[in-house]
Amino acid sequence: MDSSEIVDKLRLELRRGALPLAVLAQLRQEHYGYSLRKELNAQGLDIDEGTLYPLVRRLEKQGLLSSEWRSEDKRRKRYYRLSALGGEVLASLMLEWRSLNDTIDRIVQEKT
Amino acid sequence: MKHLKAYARQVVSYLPASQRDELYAELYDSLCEEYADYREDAPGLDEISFLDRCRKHPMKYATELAGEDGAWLVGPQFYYSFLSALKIALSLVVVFHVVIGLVRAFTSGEILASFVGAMASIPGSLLWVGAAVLGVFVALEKSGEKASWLDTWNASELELADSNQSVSRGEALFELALSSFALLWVLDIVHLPAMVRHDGDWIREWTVNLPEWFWWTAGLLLLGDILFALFRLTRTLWTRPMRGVTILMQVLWIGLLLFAAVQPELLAVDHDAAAQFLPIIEKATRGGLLVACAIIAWDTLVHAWRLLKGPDSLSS
Repeated sequence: MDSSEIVDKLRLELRRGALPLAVLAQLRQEHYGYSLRKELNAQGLDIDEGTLYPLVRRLEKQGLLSSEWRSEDKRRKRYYRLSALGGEVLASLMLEWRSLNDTIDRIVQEKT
Repeated sequence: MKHLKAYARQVVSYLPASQRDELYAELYDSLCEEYADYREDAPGLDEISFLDRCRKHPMKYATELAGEDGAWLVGPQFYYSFLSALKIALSLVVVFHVVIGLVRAFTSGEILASFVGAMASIPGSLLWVGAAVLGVFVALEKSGEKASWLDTWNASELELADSNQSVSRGEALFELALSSFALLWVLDIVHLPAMVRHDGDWIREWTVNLPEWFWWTAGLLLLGDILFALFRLTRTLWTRPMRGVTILMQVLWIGLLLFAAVQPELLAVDHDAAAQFLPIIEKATRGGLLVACAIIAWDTLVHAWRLLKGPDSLSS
């Protein structure tokens, strides 16, 4: 396994941990599947459906998101939004993220 | 959007039935929006090229969508291939046993016992074949294979779907039961119950006056119906060849039943008192045959119409 493969693998692991936070934060505004993915992509977080949909389903199952079906353009769209519980969890996760980010930054800067 | 619908339908067909409707709606909507976005940059882009460019094999994609919910027996990258192979193998086992049972029934003196014996060995064979298929996939997984057969995929291979294209399992099972019973009757293994009672006696001595070739043709058609009903049980959607086979077989049935209905002396009865009822019974039988012909003809026309019209869109 060459270094680029190792980097890819570790990058995936890094992203995997951060994705729920990004999705929860983005869903403070209501979105349906494709608009959520597009919005995340526009902000630089490239995520495919195969990753996003299972994640959104899991977060909804955990009660962090609520969803509602609506019909538009003869198609059914499922709109997701952060639930009250999701809001609490997001606030805690953001604190954790910032603290982790600061710590990692410090460690990385000390070593370089 | 028929190819996008077909793709979404194909993907969700691998996922648990309880999730299919919702996932289909979400996936189809997402495909339509993404396709519309692509078309803004490339107006001439057709659905097939879009799917080829932006999507993986439906089975691979279904594996991703299943996420961490799946309880994989093998895989996960092999799981849906394994299930497909298992379904095909088990269906072939059943068909094989039915054919062997019928051959034994025809060639041995004990028709019913041979047929029942062949049917009774089905569960054991299913277990062995299931275990063998599982063994093959476990070995593939251990060898480091990454389901490379799913890498070569083309969206033009998608089975186009419409709301009328779902194969009805109830209909297939009904035809299977009816054809099996009719075949057993043609083979003289089972008998119709006596339906005419006169002076306290059930009259059973009816004879159907039809030539030998008629019974051979009917027997072969019934065998074909049984095999085709079993095949349909393994499919989810009607295809053009399946409709073609149905139309052909039904046209043959209409011809055969009409031939029977116009026979001058269709029935005979070896019972003095029953002779007076013969014209009425014969008329009722002809009427029944003509009604059957009309039902089959209507169904044939429906299949022909759908064959000519081609696949419609699936209502989302």
